Amino acid sequence: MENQADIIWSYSRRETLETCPKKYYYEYYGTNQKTAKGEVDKAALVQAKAWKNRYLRTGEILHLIIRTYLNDCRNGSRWTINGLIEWARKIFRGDRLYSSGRLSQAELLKCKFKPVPLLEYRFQTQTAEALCLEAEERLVQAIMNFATRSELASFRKGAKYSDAAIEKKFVFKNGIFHGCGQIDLVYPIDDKIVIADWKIGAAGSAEESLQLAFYGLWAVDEYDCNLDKIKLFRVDLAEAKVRQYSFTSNSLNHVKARILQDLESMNMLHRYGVNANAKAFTPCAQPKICTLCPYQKICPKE
Amino acid sequence: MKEANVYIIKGGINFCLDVRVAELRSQDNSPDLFEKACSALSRRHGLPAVKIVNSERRKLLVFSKHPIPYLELRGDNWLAEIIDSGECQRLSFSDRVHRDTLAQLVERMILIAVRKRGDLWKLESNRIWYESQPFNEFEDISAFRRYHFSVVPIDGVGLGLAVHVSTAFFTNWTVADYFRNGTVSSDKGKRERFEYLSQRQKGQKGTLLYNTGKSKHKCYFEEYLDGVTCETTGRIPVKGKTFSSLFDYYQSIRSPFSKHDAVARVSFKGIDRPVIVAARALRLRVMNDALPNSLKQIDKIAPKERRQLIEGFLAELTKSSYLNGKLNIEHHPWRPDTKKCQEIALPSLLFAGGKRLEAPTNPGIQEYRNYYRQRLSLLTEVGCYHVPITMNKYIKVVVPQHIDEKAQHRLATDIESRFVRWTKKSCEVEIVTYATIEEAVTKLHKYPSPGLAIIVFDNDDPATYYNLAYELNSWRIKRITSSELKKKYNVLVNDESRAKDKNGKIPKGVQSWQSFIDLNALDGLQQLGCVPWTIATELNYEGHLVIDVSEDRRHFALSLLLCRRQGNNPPFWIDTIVPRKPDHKKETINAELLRDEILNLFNRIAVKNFVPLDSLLALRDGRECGDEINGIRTAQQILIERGYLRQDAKVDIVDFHKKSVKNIRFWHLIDSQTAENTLEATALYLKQKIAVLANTGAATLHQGTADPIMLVAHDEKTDLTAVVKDVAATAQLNFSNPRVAQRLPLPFKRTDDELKNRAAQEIRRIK
Repeated sequence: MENQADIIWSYSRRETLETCPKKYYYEYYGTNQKTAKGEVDKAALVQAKAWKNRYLRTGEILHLIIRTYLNDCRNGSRWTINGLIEWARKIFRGDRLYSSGRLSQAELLKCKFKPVPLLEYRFQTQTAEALCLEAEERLVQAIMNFATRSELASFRKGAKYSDAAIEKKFVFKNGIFHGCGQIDLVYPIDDKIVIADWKIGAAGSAEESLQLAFYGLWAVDEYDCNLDKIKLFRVDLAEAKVRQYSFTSNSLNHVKARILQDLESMNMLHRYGVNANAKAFTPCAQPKICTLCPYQKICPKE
Repeated sequence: MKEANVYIIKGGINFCLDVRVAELRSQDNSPDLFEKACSALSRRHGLPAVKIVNSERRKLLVFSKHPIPYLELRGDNWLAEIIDSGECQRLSFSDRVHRDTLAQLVERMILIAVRKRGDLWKLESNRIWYESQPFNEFEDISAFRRYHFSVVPIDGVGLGLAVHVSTAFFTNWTVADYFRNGTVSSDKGKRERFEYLSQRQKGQKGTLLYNTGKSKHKCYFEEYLDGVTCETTGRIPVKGKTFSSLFDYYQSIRSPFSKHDAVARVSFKGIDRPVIVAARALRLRVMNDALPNSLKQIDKIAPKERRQLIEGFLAELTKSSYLNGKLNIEHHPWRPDTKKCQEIALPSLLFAGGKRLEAPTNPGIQEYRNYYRQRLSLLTEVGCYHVPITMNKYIKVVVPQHIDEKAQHRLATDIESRFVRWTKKSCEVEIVTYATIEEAVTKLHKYPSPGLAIIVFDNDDPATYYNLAYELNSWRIKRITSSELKKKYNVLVNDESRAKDKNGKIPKGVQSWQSFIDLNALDGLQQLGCVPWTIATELNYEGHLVIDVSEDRRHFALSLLLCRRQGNNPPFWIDTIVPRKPDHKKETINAELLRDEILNLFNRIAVKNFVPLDSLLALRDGRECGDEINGIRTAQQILIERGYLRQDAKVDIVDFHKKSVKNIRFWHLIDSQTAENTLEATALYLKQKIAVLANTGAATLHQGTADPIMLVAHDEKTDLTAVVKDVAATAQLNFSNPRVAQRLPLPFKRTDDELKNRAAQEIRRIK
């Protein structure tokens, strides 16, 4: 059983809690087989969790394509733009067909990547196809921008360095808390460390700067260097915009404090979570958020 | 004679309105459709309308002598029609069921009249209207008067129009002026000035007034986009349409911005992503903390000036041709009788050794003033009513090394003298100096038993404050800023050599230092668990439980005050807890968490032979309550089972509005032209379930008008007079500043202070 000391902070965990405490319960307790054993809806929750919304899924595909592309480039293989786009379309098309029940058993068996059910086809049946096609076009634009735009050339080049890491997973420990994350791209150049995070969406928010600042906190510790040696970038692939974030050592103090404050909330809720007391987790009841939530049928929303 | 900022609608208790019923037809069931329909009727046809409450069908009541014109409303994915049903109805004040609807309709009539005036503008609320021109300007800041109005039903009197006046500050420079690129140092200074005025260093985003030239909106600063102009923004989507640039959009709405205007990114409530707008359209809202001294006091409006301003507003309003023949408002403000407006008898106070401070017997400014002034003298004379046996008498004054040694020493010795005087015990204050905050923490960790640390530190960075509180969680921390200490000490040194003036008055700098020491020592005293005095007489409720939520909704606070007959163990207890509120998007506290934290608060009562309470007053900082009532009632049952409450204990729940939601003020009228604040603890009863209480007043309030609180009982069984008396009495536990009356009762003061402390530690943005 997960106890309080074992809660590991991650940006996605805190984002889930910020967005909707009820979803946080479902994600970290309700669907977890090791905890919240009294949850009567566990089977239904686990089933619901498999459904993904179009933003989450296209984000996953984008990361898969970029990861594969960059790794293959390092190994000397070359992808054509059309090849990348076709592949992305094929995966997402598989998801669409599968979600709408248009994929035969034989076709399903042929799929190299198991298709993922898209929740738009479950809850917004009238508009699902249009919404997903729109998301697919955004995905394609993002891939095209990544592979071709000159603004991103330095990242494509940097990823080829032998000591570059793609989708680097890490755990940060400082004696007070544990945090974990995954950096899309990190590589050293001259005496600097470059860190980049891809997003399909537009304009940054204060919360996203927390994610990058956390990467900065980890990098300072990992590479035992000053913060001025770390270059942090957020790459908006839809518009091929690169934004560099500058942080001070004071920013890192803010990150540590923010994480501890998040953990206070998580720890407070923990005992309710393990005891499967879902009532202690307030649903956000915001239609825009609920529409994208896989647990929307189970959630009481009030 | 008392007078309120309320004007009675002529007709009083016989007031009535004939209204028509309209049907709202739509496939869309969203509740906000009603408000959209009412708003459309008001804007397009000048017709005030309200939703019919509890109607099975979707109906509106519209004040119109003629049939309501057919109206079609459209939005993204919805369509609605408003159709006159042919039905008419008479709403009468004499019918209790009609009163709130009637008040709402009249309020909307007045809103239409105010809008038709055309010389006022609104920003965040339909009920708050700003004058077009500032009444005062200083450097880059302008001060605007604004008028708040609302209509309230008053039992036995009729509908009252409450008009309140306040002040708002905006920069007269635009965001573009602060960020204009240049090479001269003054440009950097302008950006720093923007950061200061917006309080962004303290984690605020900066509230902006966005003036498109057509309308005004509230938004929040995200960033200035250096080098980007309205023409070079690239494509932007607005309300489903795509424009080739921001300039293209402004052209479409005929806004007066040029291609070359600079651009800033801002966020609006209700729009999930930040958007770009012309920086020249943005002006910064200046919060009081950032105001220069010359403007700091101008928002304090004394009753006499307030009356005049309100009279001016009313005179303009009653000229309105729109209201002519529809609504008549009394020309003079409401003067409530003595049944409605009462001076609450203040309680006697009990100090150490049974020493009493008797309550004033004849209400009067001087007698009340003495009642407040004598508290500190009595505390000095006889000491605290209660000092914990286990109190840690070793107090640390933790100061940065750069503070003058003499100042350090003076601070420590003066604080020590206060503790000795008030606790009548030996106390030792030790100075701990530090170069960095980390060093201060390390030094304090070396002490075997944590106690009170009065920490002087340099900045108001939330992370520093949070880390201190986190690292020193077993210590009681009192924070003083270096700048404040230096300022007070420098004036002290300047003035101390001067003799008393010819009236025997101590020089100002010395008085100011003494007051600074008193207030900090009094805070420290409370942190150590000392109780300076208690209430000598019995309260109506033995226990007061306060439930409060922070402004940013990141925390909630619970405070428990037990104040009862000697012999009931414990006769006095005060404790506060501040749990986090994980669902900060909602005002309501989750009922499960609330129940458990109430139980947790009671479990902290560390006394043997606890005598169960026979009554408990639960005061909720009232905005909305959701399912909280269930949380409180479930906790009540468990508290009975655990022996904290008697089986038959009376538990009343009352909403406590720190700000009177209807902005009601009242004062004492000396003659037809002159008014002054009422005495402390004056209450105005509006309804059986609603009272307004001003705990501050003429004896100790020297600027502005007393700002009352509002109490709303949850059910009619609650004796509101008893609640008002208790709230006024517990406001006399003004331990933090005994010479001055306190707006809030002690448990609310505690939750309020604690929540402000937590808010000051909260990391909102990573910069």
